[in-house]
Amino acid sequence: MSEAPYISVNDLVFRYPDGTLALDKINLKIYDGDLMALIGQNGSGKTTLSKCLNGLLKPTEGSIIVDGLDTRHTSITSMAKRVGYVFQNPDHQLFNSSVWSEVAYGPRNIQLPPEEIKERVQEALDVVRMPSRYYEEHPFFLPKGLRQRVAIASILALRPKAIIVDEPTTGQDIKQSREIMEFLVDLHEQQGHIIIIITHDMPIVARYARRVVAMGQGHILADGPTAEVFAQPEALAKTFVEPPQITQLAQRCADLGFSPRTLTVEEMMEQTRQILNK
Amino acid sequence: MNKTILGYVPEESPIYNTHPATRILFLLIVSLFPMFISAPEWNLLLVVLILILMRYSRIDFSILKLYVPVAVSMGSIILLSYTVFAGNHPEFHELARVLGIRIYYERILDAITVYFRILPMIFIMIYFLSTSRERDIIVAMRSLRIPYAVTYLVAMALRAVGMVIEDFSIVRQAEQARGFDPVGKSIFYKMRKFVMYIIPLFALALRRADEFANALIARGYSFTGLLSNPKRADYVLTHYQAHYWDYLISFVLIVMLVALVVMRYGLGMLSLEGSLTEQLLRAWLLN
Repeated sequence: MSEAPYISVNDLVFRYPDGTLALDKINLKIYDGDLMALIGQNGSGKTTLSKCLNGLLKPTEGSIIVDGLDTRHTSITSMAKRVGYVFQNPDHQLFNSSVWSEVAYGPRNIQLPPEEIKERVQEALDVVRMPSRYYEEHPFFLPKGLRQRVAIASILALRPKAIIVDEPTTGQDIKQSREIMEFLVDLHEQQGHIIIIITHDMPIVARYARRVVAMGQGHILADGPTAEVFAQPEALAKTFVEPPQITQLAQRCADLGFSPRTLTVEEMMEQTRQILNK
Repeated sequence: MNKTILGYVPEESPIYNTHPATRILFLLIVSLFPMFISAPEWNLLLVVLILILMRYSRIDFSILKLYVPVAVSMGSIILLSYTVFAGNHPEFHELARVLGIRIYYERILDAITVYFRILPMIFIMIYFLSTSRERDIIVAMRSLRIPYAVTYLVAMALRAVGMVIEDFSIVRQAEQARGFDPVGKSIFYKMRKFVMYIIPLFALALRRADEFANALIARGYSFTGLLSNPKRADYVLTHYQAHYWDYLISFVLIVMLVALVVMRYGLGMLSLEGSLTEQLLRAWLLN
Protein backbone atom coordinates (compact mmCIF):
# COMPACT_ATOMS: atom_id res chain seq x y z
CA MET A 1 0.00 0.00 0.00
CA SER A 2 1.53 3.31 -1.04
CA GLU A 3 1.81 6.25 1.38
CA ALA A 4 -0.25 8.88 -0.44
CA PRO A 5 -3.95 8.00 -0.64
CA TYR A 6 -5.60 8.04 -4.08
CA ILE A 7 -8.83 9.31 -2.48
CA SER A 8 -8.82 11.35 0.70
CA VAL A 9 -12.10 12.20 2.44
CA ASN A 10 -11.70 15.01 4.95
CA ASP A 11 -14.40 15.91 7.50
CA LEU A 12 -17.07 15.20 4.92
CA VAL A 13 -20.59 16.31 5.76
CA PHE A 14 -23.43 15.73 3.30
CA ARG A 15 -26.97 16.93 3.76
CA TYR A 16 -29.80 16.20 1.27
CA PRO A 17 -32.12 19.00 0.10
CA ASP A 18 -34.83 17.80 2.51
CA GLY A 19 -32.42 18.45 5.38
CA THR A 20 -31.50 14.80 6.08
CA LEU A 21 -27.96 14.53 7.39
CA ALA A 22 -26.59 11.56 5.42
CA LEU A 23 -22.88 11.84 6.25
CA ASP A 24 -21.45 13.39 9.37
CA LYS A 25 -17.74 14.26 9.61
CA ILE A 26 -16.43 11.33 7.59
CA ASN A 27 -12.69 10.84 7.31
CA LEU A 28 -11.42 8.10 5.04
CA LYS A 29 -8.32 7.34 2.99
CA ILE A 30 -8.45 4.97 0.02
CA TYR A 31 -5.14 3.75 -1.31
CA ASP A 32 -3.85 2.35 -4.55
CA GLY A 33 -4.24 -1.42 -4.09
CA ASP A 34 -7.43 -1.33 -2.03
CA LEU A 35 -10.17 -3.88 -2.68
CA MET A 36 -12.69 -2.53 -0.28
CA ALA A 37 -16.26 -3.29 0.76
CA LEU A 38 -18.59 -0.61 2.08
CA ILE A 39 -21.14 -2.26 4.36
CA GLY A 40 -23.95 -1.09 6.61
CA GLN A 41 -27.70 -1.10 7.00
CA ASN A 42 -29.99 0.66 4.51
CA GLY A 43 -29.74 4.42 4.97
CA SER A 44 -26.34 4.21 6.66
CA GLY A 45 -24.79 6.49 4.04
CA LYS A 46 -22.89 3.99 1.86
CA THR A 47 -24.34 5.07 -1.47
CA THR A 48 -24.19 8.76 -0.56
CA LEU A 49 -20.52 8.43 0.38
CA SER A 50 -19.68 6.57 -2.81
CA LYS A 51 -21.49 9.16 -4.95
CA CYS A 52 -19.47 11.85 -3.20
CA LEU A 53 -16.26 9.97 -4.04
CA ASN A 54 -16.71 10.52 -7.77
CA GLY A 55 -18.22 13.99 -7.60
CA LEU A 56 -21.81 13.02 -8.42
CA LEU A 57 -22.71 14.64 -5.10
CA LYS A 58 -20.78 17.63 -3.83
CA PRO A 59 -19.93 17.88 -0.12
CA THR A 60 -22.04 20.16 2.05
CA GLU A 61 -18.95 20.63 4.23
CA GLY A 62 -15.44 19.20 4.11
CA SER A 63 -13.65 18.01 1.03
CA ILE A 64 -12.73 14.99 -1.07
CA ILE A 65 -9.43 14.93 -2.87
CA VAL A 66 -9.14 12.42 -5.71
CA ASP A 67 -5.75 12.03 -7.38
CA GLY A 68 -4.88 15.52 -6.13
CA LEU A 69 -8.13 17.10 -7.40
CA ASP A 70 -10.82 18.55 -5.18
CA THR A 71 -14.21 17.13 -6.28
CA ARG A 72 -15.88 20.47 -5.48
CA HIS A 73 -13.94 22.23 -8.22
CA THR A 74 -13.41 19.46 -10.75
CA SER A 75 -15.59 18.82 -13.78
CA ILE A 76 -17.70 15.67 -14.07
CA THR A 77 -15.68 14.61 -17.12
CA SER A 78 -12.40 14.77 -15.20
CA MET A 79 -13.86 12.85 -12.29
CA ALA A 80 -15.29 10.15 -14.58
CA LYS A 81 -11.75 9.45 -15.81
CA ARG A 82 -10.59 8.84 -12.25
CA VAL A 83 -13.47 7.22 -10.36
CA GLY A 84 -15.98 5.06 -12.22
CA TYR A 85 -19.38 4.25 -10.74
CA VAL A 86 -21.39 1.21 -11.77
CA PHE A 87 -25.00 1.67 -10.72
CA GLN A 88 -26.96 -1.11 -9.05
CA ASN A 89 -29.53 -1.36 -11.81
CA PRO A 90 -27.91 -1.46 -15.27
CA ASP A 91 -31.21 -0.31 -16.79
CA HIS A 92 -30.53 3.16 -15.42
CA GLN A 93 -27.62 3.71 -17.74
CA LEU A 94 -28.22 1.73 -20.91
CA PHE A 95 -29.74 3.77 -23.73
CA ASN A 96 -27.72 3.14 -26.86
CA SER A 97 -28.95 0.87 -29.62
CA SER A 98 -26.04 -1.59 -29.45
CA VAL A 99 -23.68 -2.99 -26.86
CA TRP A 100 -20.72 -1.55 -28.77
CA SER A 101 -22.07 2.01 -28.91
CA GLU A 102 -23.10 1.78 -25.25
CA VAL A 103 -19.53 1.03 -24.22
CA ALA A 104 -18.18 3.67 -26.60
CA TYR A 105 -20.40 6.37 -25.08
CA GLY A 106 -18.04 7.28 -22.21
CA PRO A 107 -14.84 7.47 -24.32
CA ARG A 108 -16.74 9.66 -26.83
CA ASN A 109 -17.77 11.97 -23.99
CA ILE A 110 -14.15 12.52 -23.05
CA GLN A 111 -13.42 13.20 -26.74
CA LEU A 112 -10.91 10.47 -27.48
CA PRO A 113 -9.84 9.86 -31.10
CA PRO A 114 -11.87 7.14 -32.92
CA GLU A 115 -8.98 4.66 -32.99
CA GLU A 116 -8.50 4.86 -29.25
CA ILE A 117 -12.26 4.57 -28.66
CA LYS A 118 -12.27 1.38 -30.71
CA GLU A 119 -9.30 0.00 -28.80
CA ARG A 120 -10.81 0.81 -25.40
CA VAL A 121 -14.25 -0.59 -26.27
CA GLN A 122 -12.73 -3.85 -27.50
CA GLU A 123 -10.53 -4.07 -24.40
CA ALA A 124 -13.45 -3.41 -22.02
CA LEU A 125 -15.68 -5.96 -23.75
CA ASP A 126 -12.86 -8.51 -23.63
CA VAL A 127 -12.31 -7.87 -19.92
CA VAL A 128 -15.99 -8.48 -19.11
CA ARG A 129 -15.88 -11.54 -21.38
CA MET A 130 -18.73 -10.34 -23.55
CA PRO A 131 -19.17 -12.72 -26.50
CA SER A 132 -18.75 -10.87 -29.79
CA ARG A 133 -22.13 -12.09 -31.08
CA TYR A 134 -23.74 -9.61 -28.66
CA TYR A 135 -21.80 -6.53 -29.83
CA GLU A 136 -24.56 -5.36 -32.15
CA GLU A 137 -27.43 -6.47 -29.91
CA HIS A 138 -29.65 -3.92 -28.20
CA PRO A 139 -28.61 -3.90 -24.50
CA PHE A 140 -32.27 -3.64 -23.44
CA PHE A 141 -32.95 -7.19 -24.69
CA LEU A 142 -29.99 -8.88 -22.99
CA PRO A 143 -30.41 -10.94 -19.78
CA LYS A 144 -29.68 -9.05 -16.54
CA GLY A 145 -26.26 -10.66 -16.01
CA LEU A 146 -25.12 -9.50 -19.45
CA ARG A 147 -26.64 -6.05 -18.96
CA GLN A 148 -24.60 -5.78 -15.76
CA ARG A 149 -21.48 -6.68 -17.72
CA VAL A 150 -22.26 -4.02 -20.35
CA ALA A 151 -22.67 -1.48 -17.53
CA ILE A 152 -19.30 -2.45 -16.06
CA ALA A 153 -17.63 -2.44 -19.50
CA SER A 154 -19.00 1.04 -20.17
CA ILE A 155 -17.19 2.26 -17.06
CA LEU A 156 -14.01 0.26 -17.75
CA ALA A 157 -13.73 1.90 -21.16
CA LEU A 158 -13.03 5.17 -19.34
CA ARG A 159 -10.08 3.44 -17.61
CA PRO A 160 -10.70 4.97 -14.20
CA LYS A 161 -8.20 4.11 -11.49
CA ALA A 162 -10.96 3.46 -8.96
CA ILE A 163 -14.22 1.65 -9.69
CA ILE A 164 -17.20 1.74 -7.35
CA VAL A 165 -19.71 -1.05 -7.90
CA ASP A 166 -23.07 -0.65 -6.18
CA GLU A 167 -24.54 -3.98 -5.04
CA PRO A 168 -23.01 -6.06 -7.84
CA THR A 169 -24.48 -9.36 -6.64
CA THR A 170 -28.06 -8.28 -5.90
CA GLY A 171 -30.54 -10.47 -7.74
CA GLN A 172 -27.81 -12.80 -9.02
CA ASP A 173 -27.53 -16.48 -8.24
CA ILE A 174 -24.46 -17.77 -6.43
CA LYS A 175 -22.71 -18.75 -9.69
CA GLN A 176 -23.23 -15.31 -11.26
CA SER A 177 -22.31 -13.56 -8.00
CA ARG A 178 -19.01 -15.43 -7.86
CA GLU A 179 -18.34 -14.76 -11.55
CA ILE A 180 -18.88 -11.04 -11.05
CA MET A 181 -16.73 -10.94 -7.92
CA GLU A 182 -13.92 -12.98 -9.48
CA PHE A 183 -14.05 -10.67 -12.43
CA LEU A 184 -13.73 -7.65 -10.09
CA VAL A 185 -10.83 -9.34 -8.27
CA ASP A 186 -9.17 -9.86 -11.67
CA LEU A 187 -9.61 -6.18 -12.45
CA HIS A 188 -7.95 -5.42 -9.14
CA GLU A 189 -5.09 -7.88 -9.48
CA GLN A 190 -4.43 -7.86 -13.22
CA GLN A 191 -5.33 -4.30 -14.17
CA GLY A 192 -4.45 -2.58 -10.89
CA HIS A 193 -7.83 -0.92 -10.31
CA ILE A 194 -8.95 0.16 -6.86
CA ILE A 195 -12.27 -1.65 -6.33
CA ILE A 196 -14.93 -0.43 -3.93
CA ILE A 197 -18.02 -2.61 -3.63
CA ILE A 198 -21.19 -1.63 -1.81
CA THR A 199 -22.97 -4.73 -0.61
CA HIS A 200 -25.11 -6.46 2.01
CA ASP A 201 -23.75 -9.88 1.07
CA MET A 202 -21.39 -10.73 3.95
CA PRO A 203 -20.12 -14.10 2.66
CA ILE A 204 -19.07 -12.28 -0.53
CA VAL A 205 -17.33 -9.60 1.54
CA ALA A 206 -15.57 -12.24 3.65
CA ARG A 207 -14.37 -14.13 0.61
CA TYR A 208 -13.24 -11.28 -1.64
CA ALA A 209 -12.74 -7.95 0.16
CA ARG A 210 -9.34 -7.12 1.63
CA ARG A 211 -10.63 -4.14 3.57
CA VAL A 212 -14.03 -3.36 5.06
CA VAL A 213 -15.55 -0.02 5.99
CA ALA A 214 -18.71 -0.43 8.09
CA MET A 215 -21.09 2.54 8.17
CA GLY A 216 -24.02 3.40 10.37
CA GLN A 217 -26.12 6.57 10.63
CA GLY A 218 -23.71 8.59 8.54
CA HIS A 219 -20.60 7.60 10.50
CA ILE A 220 -17.79 5.12 9.94
CA LEU A 221 -18.14 2.54 12.69
CA ALA A 222 -15.24 0.28 11.73
CA ASP A 223 -12.50 0.37 9.13
CA GLY A 224 -9.74 -2.19 8.62
CA PRO A 225 -8.78 -5.54 7.16
CA THR A 226 -11.84 -7.75 6.62
CA ALA A 227 -11.01 -10.28 9.35
CA GLU A 228 -10.32 -7.49 11.83
CA VAL A 229 -13.64 -5.73 11.19
CA PHE A 230 -15.62 -8.99 11.39
CA ALA A 231 -13.93 -9.63 14.72
CA GLN A 232 -15.75 -6.53 16.11
CA PRO A 233 -19.33 -7.80 16.47
CA GLU A 234 -20.30 -4.86 18.73
CA ALA A 235 -19.41 -2.31 16.07
CA LEU A 236 -21.20 -4.33 13.39
CA ALA A 237 -24.30 -4.79 15.55
CA LYS A 238 -24.74 -0.99 15.59
CA THR A 239 -25.39 -1.10 11.87
CA PHE A 240 -27.34 -4.40 11.92
CA VAL A 241 -24.64 -6.32 10.10
CA GLU A 242 -23.72 -9.84 11.12
CA PRO A 243 -20.45 -11.50 10.11
CA PRO A 244 -20.83 -14.61 7.92
CA GLN A 245 -22.05 -17.67 9.79
CA ILE A 246 -18.69 -19.41 9.49
CA THR A 247 -17.02 -16.41 11.22
CA GLN A 248 -19.68 -16.42 13.96
CA LEU A 249 -19.14 -20.15 14.48
CA ALA A 250 -15.37 -19.68 14.73
CA GLN A 251 -15.86 -16.79 17.19
CA ARG A 252 -18.09 -18.96 19.40
CA CYS A 253 -15.57 -21.83 19.24
CA ALA A 254 -12.60 -19.59 20.03
CA ASP A 255 -12.02 -21.42 23.32
CA LEU A 256 -11.49 -24.62 21.29
CA GLY A 257 -8.64 -22.98 19.45
CA PHE A 258 -10.43 -21.51 16.41
CA SER A 259 -9.40 -18.06 15.24
CA PRO A 260 -12.17 -15.44 15.60
CA ARG A 261 -10.82 -14.00 12.37
CA THR A 262 -11.86 -16.99 10.28
CA LEU A 263 -13.60 -15.85 7.12
CA THR A 264 -14.17 -18.88 4.91
CA VAL A 265 -15.15 -22.54 5.16
CA GLU A 266 -11.72 -23.45 3.77
CA GLU A 267 -9.99 -21.60 6.64
CA MET A 268 -12.31 -23.29 9.15
CA MET A 269 -11.54 -26.72 7.67
CA GLU A 270 -7.82 -26.09 7.84
CA GLN A 271 -8.04 -25.07 11.50
CA THR A 272 -10.24 -28.08 12.29
CA ARG A 273 -7.62 -30.37 10.75
CA GLN A 274 -4.87 -28.76 12.80
CA ILE A 275 -6.88 -29.00 16.05
CA LEU A 276 -7.74 -32.67 15.41
CA ASN A 277 -4.14 -33.49 14.59
CA LYS A 278 -2.90 -32.07 17.92
CA MET B 1 -39.15 19.69 4.56
CA ASN B 2 -42.08 18.03 2.86
CA LYS B 3 -41.21 15.84 -0.10
CA THR B 4 -43.65 16.77 -2.81
CA ILE B 5 -44.11 15.24 -6.23
CA LEU B 6 -41.63 17.64 -7.84
CA GLY B 7 -39.29 18.52 -5.00
CA TYR B 8 -39.16 19.77 -1.44
CA VAL B 9 -41.14 22.51 0.28
CA PRO B 10 -40.62 23.62 3.90
CA GLU B 11 -43.30 22.33 6.29
CA GLU B 12 -43.89 25.93 7.41
CA SER B 13 -44.93 26.96 3.88
CA PRO B 14 -48.28 28.83 4.00
CA ILE B 15 -49.59 26.52 1.27
CA TYR B 16 -50.00 23.80 3.90
CA ASN B 17 -52.57 25.91 5.74
CA THR B 18 -54.96 25.16 2.91
CA HIS B 19 -56.96 21.96 2.45
CA PRO B 20 -55.78 19.72 -0.42
CA ALA B 21 -59.21 20.07 -2.04
CA THR B 22 -58.69 23.85 -2.22
CA ARG B 23 -55.38 23.29 -3.95
CA ILE B 24 -56.86 20.93 -6.51
CA LEU B 25 -59.70 23.42 -7.12
CA PHE B 26 -57.03 26.06 -7.69
CA LEU B 27 -55.39 23.78 -10.27
CA LEU B 28 -58.64 22.97 -12.05
CA ILE B 29 -60.05 26.51 -12.10
CA VAL B 30 -56.90 28.56 -12.73
CA SER B 31 -55.88 26.14 -15.52
CA LEU B 32 -59.05 27.24 -17.29
CA PHE B 33 -58.18 30.95 -17.13
CA PRO B 34 -55.92 30.96 -20.22
CA MET B 35 -58.75 29.38 -22.24
CA PHE B 36 -60.66 32.65 -21.86
CA ILE B 37 -57.68 34.92 -22.40
CA SER B 38 -56.37 35.43 -25.91
CA ALA B 39 -54.16 38.47 -25.33
CA PRO B 40 -50.65 37.07 -24.65
CA GLU B 41 -49.73 39.92 -22.27
CA TRP B 42 -52.54 38.92 -19.87
CA ASN B 43 -51.42 35.31 -19.93
CA LEU B 44 -47.88 36.51 -19.24
CA LEU B 45 -49.25 38.42 -16.26
CA LEU B 46 -50.85 35.18 -15.07
CA VAL B 47 -47.43 33.51 -15.24
CA VAL B 48 -45.96 36.33 -13.15
CA LEU B 49 -48.75 35.94 -10.57
CA ILE B 50 -48.05 32.21 -10.33
CA LEU B 51 -44.35 32.92 -9.87
CA ILE B 52 -45.24 35.29 -7.01
CA LEU B 53 -47.39 32.54 -5.49
CA MET B 54 -44.48 30.11 -5.85
CA ARG B 55 -42.21 32.52 -3.98
CA TYR B 56 -44.88 33.03 -1.29
CA SER B 57 -45.24 29.24 -0.95
CA ARG B 58 -41.45 28.97 -0.52
CA ILE B 59 -40.82 26.81 -3.57
CA ASP B 60 -37.18 26.53 -4.57
CA PHE B 61 -36.99 28.42 -7.91
CA SER B 62 -34.06 26.29 -9.05
CA ILE B 63 -36.53 23.52 -10.03
CA LEU B 64 -37.82 25.83 -12.77
CA LYS B 65 -34.63 25.53 -14.79
CA LEU B 66 -35.45 21.83 -15.30
CA TYR B 67 -38.47 22.91 -17.31
CA VAL B 68 -36.70 25.42 -19.52
CA PRO B 69 -35.93 22.77 -22.21
CA VAL B 70 -39.61 21.74 -22.11
CA ALA B 71 -40.75 25.35 -22.56
CA VAL B 72 -38.24 26.02 -25.35
CA SER B 73 -38.95 22.80 -27.25
CA MET B 74 -42.68 23.33 -26.91
CA GLY B 75 -42.35 26.90 -28.22
CA SER B 76 -40.23 25.70 -31.14
CA ILE B 77 -42.71 22.97 -32.08
CA ILE B 78 -45.66 25.39 -31.94
CA LEU B 79 -43.81 28.00 -33.97
CA LEU B 80 -42.74 25.44 -36.57
CA SER B 81 -46.17 23.88 -36.88
CA TYR B 82 -47.82 27.29 -37.29
CA THR B 83 -45.29 28.68 -39.76
CA VAL B 84 -43.58 25.89 -41.75
CA PHE B 85 -46.72 23.76 -41.85
CA ALA B 86 -49.10 26.70 -42.15
CA GLY B 87 -50.27 25.86 -45.68
CA ASN B 88 -51.19 28.34 -48.37
CA HIS B 89 -53.32 31.31 -47.28
CA PRO B 90 -53.55 34.08 -49.90
CA GLU B 91 -55.76 36.09 -47.51
CA PHE B 92 -52.91 36.40 -44.95
CA HIS B 93 -49.97 38.82 -44.94
CA GLU B 94 -46.98 37.02 -46.37
CA LEU B 95 -43.79 38.10 -44.58
CA ALA B 96 -41.20 35.95 -46.33
CA ARG B 97 -40.72 32.91 -48.50
CA VAL B 98 -38.02 30.46 -47.36
CA LEU B 99 -37.30 27.48 -49.66
CA GLY B 100 -40.81 27.83 -51.04
CA ILE B 101 -42.41 27.96 -47.61
CA ARG B 102 -44.61 30.99 -47.04
CA ILE B 103 -44.30 32.63 -43.63
CA TYR B 104 -47.43 34.56 -42.66
CA TYR B 105 -47.83 37.29 -40.07
CA GLU B 106 -51.17 35.91 -38.85
CA ARG B 107 -49.72 32.44 -38.25
CA ILE B 108 -46.84 33.86 -36.18
CA LEU B 109 -49.40 35.77 -34.10
CA ASP B 110 -51.42 32.56 -33.68
CA ALA B 111 -48.29 30.66 -32.57
CA ILE B 112 -47.49 33.31 -29.94
CA THR B 113 -51.10 33.29 -28.70
CA VAL B 114 -51.19 29.50 -28.36
CA TYR B 115 -47.77 29.40 -26.69
CA PHE B 116 -48.74 32.02 -24.11
CA ARG B 117 -51.95 30.11 -23.42
CA ILE B 118 -50.08 26.88 -22.71
CA LEU B 119 -47.27 28.50 -20.69
CA PRO B 120 -49.44 29.50 -17.66
CA MET B 121 -50.97 26.01 -17.65
CA ILE B 122 -47.47 24.50 -17.36
CA PHE B 123 -46.59 26.91 -14.52
CA ILE B 124 -49.85 26.13 -12.70
CA MET B 125 -49.10 22.42 -12.96
CA ILE B 126 -45.52 22.93 -11.72
CA TYR B 127 -46.87 25.00 -8.82
CA PHE B 128 -49.44 22.36 -7.95
CA LEU B 129 -47.07 19.38 -8.20
CA SER B 130 -44.30 21.27 -6.38
CA THR B 131 -46.52 21.84 -3.37
CA SER B 132 -48.56 18.62 -3.36
CA ARG B 133 -47.69 15.26 -1.93
CA GLU B 134 -49.20 12.12 -3.36
CA ARG B 135 -51.54 11.75 -0.37
CA ASP B 136 -52.70 15.39 -0.66
CA ILE B 137 -54.00 14.69 -4.14
CA ILE B 138 -55.76 11.50 -3.11
CA VAL B 139 -57.40 13.25 -0.13
CA ALA B 140 -58.43 16.13 -2.39
CA MET B 141 -60.03 13.80 -4.91
CA ARG B 142 -61.92 11.95 -2.21
CA SER B 143 -63.14 15.26 -0.74
CA LEU B 144 -64.50 16.13 -4.17
CA ARG B 145 -66.38 12.77 -4.16
CA ILE B 146 -64.52 11.41 -7.17
CA PRO B 147 -65.25 7.66 -7.63
CA TYR B 148 -62.91 5.26 -5.87
CA ALA B 149 -61.66 3.61 -9.06
CA VAL B 150 -60.60 6.97 -10.53
CA THR B 151 -58.82 7.94 -7.29
CA TYR B 152 -57.11 4.56 -7.28
CA LEU B 153 -55.98 5.00 -10.88
CA VAL B 154 -54.63 8.49 -10.15
CA ALA B 155 -52.88 7.23 -7.00
CA MET B 156 -51.09 4.56 -9.07
CA ALA B 157 -50.18 7.12 -11.73
CA LEU B 158 -48.81 9.47 -9.07
CA ARG B 159 -46.71 6.71 -7.58
CA ALA B 160 -45.36 6.10 -11.06
CA VAL B 161 -44.58 9.82 -11.46
CA GLY B 162 -42.62 9.79 -8.19
CA MET B 163 -40.66 6.75 -9.31
CA VAL B 164 -39.98 8.21 -12.75
CA ILE B 165 -38.61 11.39 -11.14
CA GLU B 166 -36.33 9.31 -8.91
CA ASP B 167 -35.27 7.23 -11.91
CA PHE B 168 -34.58 10.40 -13.86
CA SER B 169 -32.22 11.59 -11.15
CA ILE B 170 -30.34 8.25 -11.15
CA VAL B 171 -30.22 8.10 -14.95
CA ARG B 172 -28.76 11.61 -15.01
CA GLN B 173 -26.10 10.62 -12.49
CA ALA B 174 -25.36 7.44 -14.47
CA GLU B 175 -24.68 9.55 -17.59
CA GLN B 176 -22.55 11.97 -15.58
CA ALA B 177 -20.55 9.03 -14.21
CA ARG B 178 -19.60 8.30 -17.81
CA GLY B 179 -18.34 11.79 -18.40
CA PHE B 180 -21.45 13.48 -19.79
CA ASP B 181 -21.17 17.07 -18.67
CA PRO B 182 -23.94 19.40 -19.90
CA VAL B 183 -22.61 22.38 -17.91
CA GLY B 184 -22.08 25.36 -20.18
CA LYS B 185 -23.63 23.65 -23.22
CA SER B 186 -26.40 25.29 -25.25
CA ILE B 187 -30.06 24.58 -24.63
CA PHE B 188 -30.32 22.89 -28.06
CA TYR B 189 -27.45 20.56 -27.18
CA LYS B 190 -29.24 19.62 -23.96
CA MET B 191 -32.50 19.09 -25.83
CA ARG B 192 -30.75 16.85 -28.36
CA LYS B 193 -29.19 14.80 -25.57
CA PHE B 194 -32.51 14.47 -23.76
CA VAL B 195 -33.14 11.23 -25.67
CA MET B 196 -30.52 9.43 -23.60
CA TYR B 197 -32.62 10.13 -20.53
CA ILE B 198 -35.88 9.20 -22.21
CA ILE B 199 -34.83 5.74 -23.44
CA PRO B 200 -33.80 4.27 -20.06
CA LEU B 201 -36.82 5.90 -18.41
CA PHE B 202 -39.11 4.38 -21.01
CA ALA B 203 -37.45 0.95 -20.65
CA LEU B 204 -37.71 1.10 -16.86
CA ALA B 205 -41.35 2.23 -17.05
CA LEU B 206 -42.21 -0.70 -19.33
CA ARG B 207 -40.56 -3.23 -17.02
CA ARG B 208 -42.13 -1.62 -13.96
CA ALA B 209 -45.63 -1.49 -15.47
CA ASP B 210 -45.41 -5.21 -16.06
CA GLU B 211 -44.28 -5.84 -12.46
CA PHE B 212 -46.96 -3.50 -11.14
CA ALA B 213 -49.72 -5.29 -13.03
CA ASN B 214 -48.45 -8.69 -11.86
CA ALA B 215 -48.29 -7.45 -8.25
CA LEU B 216 -51.92 -6.26 -8.43
CA ILE B 217 -53.15 -9.51 -9.93
CA ALA B 218 -51.15 -11.52 -7.37
CA ARG B 219 -53.08 -9.72 -4.62
CA GLY B 220 -56.43 -10.53 -6.13
CA TYR B 221 -57.16 -7.16 -7.74
CA SER B 222 -59.88 -7.17 -10.33
CA PHE B 223 -61.50 -4.26 -12.07
CA THR B 224 -65.11 -3.98 -10.95
CA GLY B 225 -66.27 -0.79 -12.67
CA LEU B 226 -65.81 2.94 -12.15
CA LEU B 227 -68.82 3.47 -9.92
CA SER B 228 -68.14 0.70 -7.40
CA ASN B 229 -66.85 2.09 -4.16
CA PRO B 230 -65.68 -0.80 -2.01
CA LYS B 231 -64.36 -0.01 1.45
CA ARG B 232 -60.72 -0.92 1.50
CA ALA B 233 -57.77 -0.48 3.83
CA ASP B 234 -56.46 3.07 3.51
CA TYR B 235 -52.82 4.03 3.73
CA VAL B 236 -53.57 7.77 4.01
CA LEU B 237 -53.72 8.31 7.74
CA THR B 238 -53.18 12.08 7.94
CA HIS B 239 -56.31 14.03 8.88
CA TYR B 240 -57.02 17.28 7.14
CA GLN B 241 -59.38 20.02 8.19
CA ALA B 242 -61.00 22.66 6.00
CA HIS B 243 -60.92 26.21 7.40
CA TYR B 244 -63.07 29.22 6.55
CA TRP B 245 -60.33 30.55 4.25
CA ASP B 246 -60.55 27.35 2.17
CA TYR B 247 -64.19 28.16 1.40
CA LEU B 248 -63.26 31.79 0.80
CA ILE B 249 -60.46 30.91 -1.64
CA SER B 250 -62.73 28.47 -3.50
CA PHE B 251 -65.47 31.09 -3.72
CA VAL B 252 -63.05 33.76 -5.01
CA LEU B 253 -61.68 31.35 -7.64
CA ILE B 254 -65.16 30.57 -8.92
CA VAL B 255 -66.07 34.29 -9.00
CA MET B 256 -62.88 35.03 -10.93
CA LEU B 257 -63.71 32.32 -13.46
CA VAL B 258 -67.23 33.68 -13.94
CA ALA B 259 -65.82 37.22 -14.23
CA LEU B 260 -63.40 36.06 -16.92
CA VAL B 261 -66.17 34.41 -18.91
CA VAL B 262 -68.23 37.60 -18.68
CA MET B 263 -65.28 39.80 -19.63
CA ARG B 264 -64.37 37.62 -22.59
CA TYR B 265 -67.77 36.81 -24.07
CA GLY B 266 -69.98 39.52 -22.57
CA LEU B 267 -67.70 42.52 -22.81
CA GLY B 268 -65.31 41.32 -25.55
CA MET B 269 -62.25 42.02 -23.40
CA LEU B 270 -58.95 40.05 -23.26
CA SER B 271 -59.14 39.27 -26.98
CA LEU B 272 -56.23 39.22 -29.38
CA GLU B 273 -57.57 42.00 -31.55
CA GLY B 274 -56.19 45.29 -30.31
CA SER B 275 -54.01 43.62 -27.68
CA LEU B 276 -50.62 45.09 -26.85
CA THR B 277 -48.84 42.06 -28.35
CA GLU B 278 -50.79 42.35 -31.58
CA GLN B 279 -50.02 46.08 -31.85
CA LEU B 280 -46.30 45.55 -31.19
CA LEU B 281 -46.00 42.61 -33.59
CA ARG B 282 -47.93 44.46 -36.29
CA ALA B 283 -45.68 47.49 -35.90
CA TRP B 284 -42.56 45.31 -36.01
CA LEU B 285 -43.44 42.92 -38.84
CA LEU B 286 -45.90 44.75 -41.06
CA ASN B 287 -44.91 48.41 -40.93
